[in-house]
Amino acid sequence: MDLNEEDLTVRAIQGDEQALADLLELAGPAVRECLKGLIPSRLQSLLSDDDVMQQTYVDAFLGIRQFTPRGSNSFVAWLKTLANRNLMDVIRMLEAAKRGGNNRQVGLDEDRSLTALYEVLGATTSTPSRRAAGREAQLALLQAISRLPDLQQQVIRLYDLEGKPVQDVASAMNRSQGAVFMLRARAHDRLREIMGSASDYLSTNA
Amino acid sequence: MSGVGEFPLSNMEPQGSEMSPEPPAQNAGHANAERNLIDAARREAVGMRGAESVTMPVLPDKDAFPGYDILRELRRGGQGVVYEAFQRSTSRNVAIKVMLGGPVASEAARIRFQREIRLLASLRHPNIVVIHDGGVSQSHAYFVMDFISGEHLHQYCRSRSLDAMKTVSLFRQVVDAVAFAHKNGVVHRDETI
Repeated sequence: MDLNEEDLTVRAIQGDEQALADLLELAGPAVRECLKGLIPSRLQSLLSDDDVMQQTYVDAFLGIRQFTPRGSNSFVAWLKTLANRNLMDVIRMLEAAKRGGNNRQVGLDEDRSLTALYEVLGATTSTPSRRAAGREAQLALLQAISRLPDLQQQVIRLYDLEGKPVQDVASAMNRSQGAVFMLRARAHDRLREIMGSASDYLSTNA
Repeated sequence: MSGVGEFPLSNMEPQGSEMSPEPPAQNAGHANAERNLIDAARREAVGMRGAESVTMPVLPDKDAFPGYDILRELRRGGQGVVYEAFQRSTSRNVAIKVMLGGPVASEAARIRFQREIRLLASLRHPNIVVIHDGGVSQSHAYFVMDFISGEHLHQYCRSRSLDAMKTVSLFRQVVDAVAFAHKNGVVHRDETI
């Protein structure tokens, strides 16, 4: 790690966003290079490496305080891990959408949409359908959704709750389908965290 | 096969010095495009961060695990977060899975997590990660297991264009581990290849 990189890393972790932007500009090409050939050709019309890079940069801005530098290339390695996670998430969701699966049924009412989302999240390991059927669980999930950032709320509402096709959601949000699914993956992660930590207000008898 | 839970098989690892020098003039257009992407991400993160302040999960401090230095987050799922950490006593890297929620986690969630520790610790198989340590720190239950570096299995197969026989041979190792776990009463529920 050269002095400039080291200095940028320290400042970025301390909250200097410009330093992080400069660091990302230095590290980005190596991560982008790593993505080459990893997006299956059948999905390339739905997902670009720009999509993956942008979500990865968002994750970096949000998560830089959790990064601990350990010598040369550790920042690039961390960024690659974030990119890899985004890529795996979006490929899984795009494949599921192509199969028409992912436990998703279009045209469900709110109760059933919430139950379906609860099952997708796998928020509990014990009989999720039965638990999600309880109004208490549904309210907890709605409350968790309300705590998401606006963009994540939007993708959950349009795709998971209203059951809109991903191409319509992508159009409404002015994003590619791949970008929509990466945003959705982060929203699901966040919901799992909120639901996981708040599960003590879900009655065991619900 | 990864261990019980969401621990990924591997990560993309750095090779050599990978920070780009100043972009050459002919790449100025690409550099501008990258900068625009970063600026857009920065703006989006600002919007996200407002919500982060109220949705930040309860997690312990980085120095909450005596004897270990947390290096980076590997993966997070519904139940916990997995970190790569450095074990000072043995000078090796390990993976630490920390239960989400900590002090506010439900009793049911605590029981599930403790059960996962016991189940995983009871399994001895060459393709199943081994648990080395565990405990509670800052009200967060955690356990320490092998850290497996390398590529995800699907990346490994794709990057080397493995033929069917070699792919099946690899997959058999996965199936052997899953079968071993099943025979011992453990259902993984979240295999990721």
